[in-house]
Amino acid sequence: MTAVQDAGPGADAGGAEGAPPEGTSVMADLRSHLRKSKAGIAGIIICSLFALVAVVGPWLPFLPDPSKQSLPDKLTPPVGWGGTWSHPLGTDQLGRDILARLIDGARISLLVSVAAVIIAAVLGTALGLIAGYIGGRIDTLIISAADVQMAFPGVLAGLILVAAFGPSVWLVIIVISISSWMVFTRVGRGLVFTLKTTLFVEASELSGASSRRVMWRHLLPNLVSSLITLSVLELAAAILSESAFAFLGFGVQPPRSSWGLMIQQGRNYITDGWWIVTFAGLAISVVVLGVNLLSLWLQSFNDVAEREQIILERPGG
Amino acid sequence: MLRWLAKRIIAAALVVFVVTSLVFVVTHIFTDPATVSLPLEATEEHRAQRRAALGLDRPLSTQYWDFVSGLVVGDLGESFWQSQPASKLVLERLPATLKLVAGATVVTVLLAAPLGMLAAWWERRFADHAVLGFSMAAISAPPFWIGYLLIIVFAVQLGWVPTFGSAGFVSLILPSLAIGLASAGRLSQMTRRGIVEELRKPYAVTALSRGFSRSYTIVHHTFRNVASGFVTMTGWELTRMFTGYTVVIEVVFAWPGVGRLAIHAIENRDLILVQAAVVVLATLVVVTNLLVDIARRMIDPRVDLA
Amino acid sequence: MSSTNSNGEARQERLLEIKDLTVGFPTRDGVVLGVDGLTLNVGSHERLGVVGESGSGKSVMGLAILGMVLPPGRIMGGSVKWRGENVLDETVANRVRGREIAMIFQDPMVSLNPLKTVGAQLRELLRRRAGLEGAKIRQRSLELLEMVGIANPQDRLKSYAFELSGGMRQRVMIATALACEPTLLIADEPTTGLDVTIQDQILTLLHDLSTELGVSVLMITHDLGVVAQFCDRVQVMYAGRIVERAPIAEMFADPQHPYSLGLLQSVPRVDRDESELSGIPGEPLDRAQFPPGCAFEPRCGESHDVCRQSAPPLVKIAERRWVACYNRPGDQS
Repeated sequence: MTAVQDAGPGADAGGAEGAPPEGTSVMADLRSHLRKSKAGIAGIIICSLFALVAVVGPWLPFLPDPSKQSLPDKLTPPVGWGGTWSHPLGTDQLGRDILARLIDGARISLLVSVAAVIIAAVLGTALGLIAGYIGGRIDTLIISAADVQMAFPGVLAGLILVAAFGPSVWLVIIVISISSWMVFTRVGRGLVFTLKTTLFVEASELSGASSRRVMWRHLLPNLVSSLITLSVLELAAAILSESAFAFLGFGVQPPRSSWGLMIQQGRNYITDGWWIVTFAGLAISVVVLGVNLLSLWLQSFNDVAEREQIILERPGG
Repeated sequence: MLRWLAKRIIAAALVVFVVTSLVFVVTHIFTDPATVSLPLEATEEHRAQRRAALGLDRPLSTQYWDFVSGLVVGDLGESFWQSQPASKLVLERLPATLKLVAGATVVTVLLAAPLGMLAAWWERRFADHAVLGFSMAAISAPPFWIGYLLIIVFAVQLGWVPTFGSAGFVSLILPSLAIGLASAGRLSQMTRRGIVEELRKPYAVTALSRGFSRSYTIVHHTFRNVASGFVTMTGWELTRMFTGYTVVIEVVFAWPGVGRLAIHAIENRDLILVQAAVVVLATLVVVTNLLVDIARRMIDPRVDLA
Repeated sequence: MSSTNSNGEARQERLLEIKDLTVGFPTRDGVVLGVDGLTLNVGSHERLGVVGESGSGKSVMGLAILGMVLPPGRIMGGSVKWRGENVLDETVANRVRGREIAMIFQDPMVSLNPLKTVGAQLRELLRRRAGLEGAKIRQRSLELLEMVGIANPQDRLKSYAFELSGGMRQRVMIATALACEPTLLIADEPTTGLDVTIQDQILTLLHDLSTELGVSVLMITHDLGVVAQFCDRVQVMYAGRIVERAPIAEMFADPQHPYSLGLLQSVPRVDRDESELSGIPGEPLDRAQFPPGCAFEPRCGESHDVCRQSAPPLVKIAERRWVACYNRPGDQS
């Protein structure tokens, strides 16, 4: 008894995995996929809006100076709760305009998070590639370090470093990046390993030097798409961490402002000025939601490609 | 099983050792407890005096040996802020933190398991999207802000629960919710994804083809297979709680736990006490991971013994 | 329960009638039809084979008979009737599934619940689907395991699937399928992945059980050897459609569709030289790129213009013989 030719249509799709995707068609795919995804659109709109505000914030017209105090105006409620359009989101305990402070705070909050993720991504990926490429003892060392890091998450490192060196923005950036590098390391290392095995046959037919080139040519496109997806995911965590550190007073110090710090300062006024805490937290939540939606969309885009292979295999049996 | 357990315990002890050594490097080589405890404008003479008093002028190897041997017997040094053994201060606060984590875990599991099953049951229907919406909101909002919102609504506006402190069971509810919502958001999505994946697997298709209903198959067949993943994820959430959420939430709710103690210690420039709190929390993380591994092994007999 | 009222006399009672069944799977490039306008009948005491390559839609068909489609697939048209009742209706399906029609699957390693013992899996079926209680459950469990030829059934009740050999697992699978005394057994590649000797044992077991218990079997396979050994009648499936239907002897003696011919030629025989083995030229069809005409046309050696324009209908060419090919003009009477 022998099987009828038994290569399902899925086999083809699987074999193409390592091939470098062509730039233009990927972008076209992304765009057509985006059109179908409301979450993706919402994520991109929210993220670009906040990025824009963070960049052009200080030059926005009609906005009062975020650090201008005016004690007679202190704790003015927002519009709709008895406030006026001169302070649409109300004022804080020193009479400063909440909206202006939110926009000002966006700069620090986002700058710190983005910087931390970039550092973590560059260092982490480099370590992962080294670990996967060289292997052996260096691999063991890097992976053990990643395991230890898992057991010693950011906030604990933050506590000890702030206790030792005092609070600063730079410290927060360092702490966030050391609590996220190993995620990139694992992915970078895993990619090298898969490519080593899937491309082994192909590469072994070529000379040593060109096999290494083949490897890089296959590695880079895969790496870039994974890194973008992962960075966006880590950015959401980084913004939340930054806000927690700022809230605990570890990061930027007054009179500079950040969202977490606004909550720390507003928490004594939750009975007669609930809007300070509420709007600052809302800003964090909305931007993190935007980043999360973006990340969900990027992941679903990757998943759909996989799912389609499954569908194509399914009718076979 | 015993050999496996012994191996895991040794590995865990090793991680604790490495982490504490890293802490020592920060607290004794990059700076030292005496310098931290003094104001910046203190004279060099003053500093030297303080160092000598704390035994920090001895060779680093001696100090490290003292630190490690102290760890083994549970001696984490003396707090200058409180003039008491640091380990005693931390351990006094530990029950409060554990209580908070326990409450948050209950909230997490009670929300995540049913929501995840519900979403999987109604896959791609309204309930599925609603659960996804809840999850996205819960993981996007900072837990300390959720804490203040809960205080504003339930304590300030409605007056149902006390705002601060740890007066009995009722005061545990809000902080547990503040911590547990985000964890439940992540965990419910993981549960849903796990069940949906399991439902596509041949054994679940077989069960459905035998005429078992979708709900019966989810509860009696797939959930057990998702359970080891569920336990692992719950374990990860526990470690998040120990190291991040509890610290901020204890500050928000003035909860007398280890995290708030650490923050107060920082404010009082008490490096030894911060170090003790961090060592204890890191140990809890490692112990949690160990317990998760053991639990997985018990749920799923196939988990590798190696 | 009404499953026992068909006796030996009602030899030709029609159990299952599938008409124009169409199952679609949405993809980025449009809907792919897993099953495309399939028509098929199964009578009582019959062993029918459905043979085709991977991707021909035969497994999708198996599940669709029970009113099941793996998401995101959808039944888009046609009907499935079990003794005149619509199985695509969820309440009918709930009654029929497992009780009157039971399915056994390829790869029993993953088709049995990995975390439940054999005993637990039988128990839940017997209690919840067959309505047995108390000591009868254990008694019937042992009886079922003995029936499928498992030695030491008492011990095996406590085993997990991963503790059993491949052949044993498939026997357990058959036992669970027979738990509620079904009238039709759908066997989806039941011997794939097993050793040749074990394959033989399983097929013999299924054959004997179907005769003894009077159970009809719908055998879904890619393996013509299985069909030859097991079935009375065979249908050849290609790209979600039936292309040929014939009694077993006639199919092997005189295949009509070029695809059936190709299938037969790719089966090695002992009495033939190895070098004569000629597969079917061309790749199995990529289902996302459906040609408007006959789906087999790109691989067919004798295609004409008409083959590229429209798909040939399944027509009767002789008593009990049907084929879908423009090269085989039908018996128009």
